[in-house]
Amino acid sequence: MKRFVTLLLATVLVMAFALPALAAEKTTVTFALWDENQKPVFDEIIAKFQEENPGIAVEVQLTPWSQYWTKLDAAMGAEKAADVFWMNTYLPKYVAAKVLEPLDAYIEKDALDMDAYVAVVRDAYKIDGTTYALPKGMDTVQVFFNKAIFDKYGVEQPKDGWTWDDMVALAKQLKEKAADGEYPIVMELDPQPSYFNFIPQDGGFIISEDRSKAGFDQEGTVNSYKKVLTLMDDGVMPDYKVLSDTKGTDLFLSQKAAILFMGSWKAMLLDEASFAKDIGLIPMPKMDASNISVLGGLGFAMNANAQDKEAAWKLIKYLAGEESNKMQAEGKIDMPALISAQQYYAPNFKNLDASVFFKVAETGYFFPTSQKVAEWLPVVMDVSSQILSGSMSPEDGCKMIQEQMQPILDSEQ
Amino acid sequence: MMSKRKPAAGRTWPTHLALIILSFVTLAPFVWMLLTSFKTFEESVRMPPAILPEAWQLENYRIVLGKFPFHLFYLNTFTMMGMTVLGQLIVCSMAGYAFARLNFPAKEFLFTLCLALLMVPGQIFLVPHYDIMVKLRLSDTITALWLPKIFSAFGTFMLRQFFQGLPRSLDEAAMIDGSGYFGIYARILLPLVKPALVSLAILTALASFKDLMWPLIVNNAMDKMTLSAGLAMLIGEHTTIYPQVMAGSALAIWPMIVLFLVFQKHFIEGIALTGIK
Repeated sequence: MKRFVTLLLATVLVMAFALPALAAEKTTVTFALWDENQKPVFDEIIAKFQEENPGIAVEVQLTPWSQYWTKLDAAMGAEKAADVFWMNTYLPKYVAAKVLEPLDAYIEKDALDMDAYVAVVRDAYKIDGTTYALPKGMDTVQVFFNKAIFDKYGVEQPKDGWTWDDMVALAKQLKEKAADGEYPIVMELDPQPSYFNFIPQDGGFIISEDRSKAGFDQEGTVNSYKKVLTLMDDGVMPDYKVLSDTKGTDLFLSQKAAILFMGSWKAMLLDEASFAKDIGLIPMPKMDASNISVLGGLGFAMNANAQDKEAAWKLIKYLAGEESNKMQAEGKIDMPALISAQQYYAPNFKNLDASVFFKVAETGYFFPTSQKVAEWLPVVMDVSSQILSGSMSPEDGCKMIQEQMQPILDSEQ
Repeated sequence: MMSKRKPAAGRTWPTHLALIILSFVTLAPFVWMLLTSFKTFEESVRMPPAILPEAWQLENYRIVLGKFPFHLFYLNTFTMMGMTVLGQLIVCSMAGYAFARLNFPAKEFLFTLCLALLMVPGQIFLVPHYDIMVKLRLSDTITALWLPKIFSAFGTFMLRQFFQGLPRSLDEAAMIDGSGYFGIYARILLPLVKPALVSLAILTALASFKDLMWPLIVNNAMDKMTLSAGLAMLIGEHTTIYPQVMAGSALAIWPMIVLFLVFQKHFIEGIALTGIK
């Protein structure tokens, strides 16, 4: 027994301190991303990149979305984070922490034409005039509708240029004829596909352009919540409980909903639906001010502690370049922000008219953010759920958000 | 004799009925998982729900197996579970023995410290553990999956209580016969706390199997991930293809089911013994 235990202990210790394999002579660049759906395409892009750059080996690290930021923070602390990684609306937080490499010197040196990208997306990765990421792609929010349901009930299909009131009128007609469990309008009540669009559409704002003021004291902001609640009160949209039990997209896919407010990120899925030929696409209806919608997207950022920054830059440049964008567009995984590669996206759709996405993108405004977005966004989301579930009035809720969000913004300065 | 003790048939049926209903409640999620794993995506999100798939799709299993190196996930998971359990049994039983039987400076203080660890949520240790692994140059290795887990405050505490419950006269008898402290620990006391060791092993194995955050944080390469981490990768930011996740889950849980069936008796005793699942 004694010998056995000693042996075990020895084995444990030896295994614990056995050194990891030594690195190869090639320079290695690590690249972190979070979307498993996109990984196969990125594996191909990386393979091509390595072919063209035989001196660089790229190691792709996939971390699921819900653990990505925890991992990035932990790895940053230990100076072991990936050299190149996907970055989104949390960019200002990492810029403030000084862990991102400014890219301007590299852009200048290689004379990279930044005007080749959609301006809103390009500028979203610029903080105080410094660029911290190159654009990957973008996503837009618009309305998908089921033509077959409109035809079945003899209701006119929505037409571009429609207003919120037009939509409500159509929805009421549908409501009269619809069977139980069928809904004229559905949406997912997360910020990006719903209220972050309605707030500016009704004349309010989430955060001022200089990122110093919260806009939840604006009349338009309060009104936009009221309009969504009115849809529920009129019975043309399921109430909060139904929408939180069942995703809007799932109701739409079950052909139980006529109108769906949804992001382009579900386009691939909807294009492959069994009834996809019946799906129409149209920009959002206009509220009091406009029908502008949120533009989301990602960028490729570089770790300020990257071991071989030249190699990391080469990878970023390639990832944000023509070939990579073309492959992502053809794989339908992302809408290119690189204007010259946008032509490759829409033709891949068998049923959907993806050109609508680009039309919507023209007036899109970038997902609101600021240095401490990770602190105020959860407040906005939490209180908004309470407003939309009816447990708090829009006035009280917006007041509450304003009171919590403004001090956070003030503390950023 | 036996038949005398058997209650009348008429009075057992309510118990059985309740048990049958509860079995269905317990089994339903597993059955749903299996059914969903054979559905198309559209069927899986259909409202009202489609119970049986229209056509049984093996496609989801093929896709999931093609996406990930499942054989490595199994291997890594079992290595991690095995080493964690082994490490904890050795470290915790030794520490438990020391706290129960030996006299050394600051013993009470150290034990209080150990108890204090029980109050701290495990997530607190994520970053320090990660930092240590990086400094040992062990990040992104299989070793990193289990090395920080071989100490457990709970295991130490639990085994100390069991050691304390054993009569001291055993130690004294062994000592008279010429045994040292290690001999007393290894040859006399350890065999007597076997049920506690089995419980600890089972609880540790379960916790290790379920651990998701740690493998994802400390390791980067796909071939150094565990089953739980692999499954999490199927959950997307915007879109989750449920039939694939369910197919992956079905592939991931069978080793645990086999383990449970083999050690069924111990599992129940283990949970009954400690009151912890």
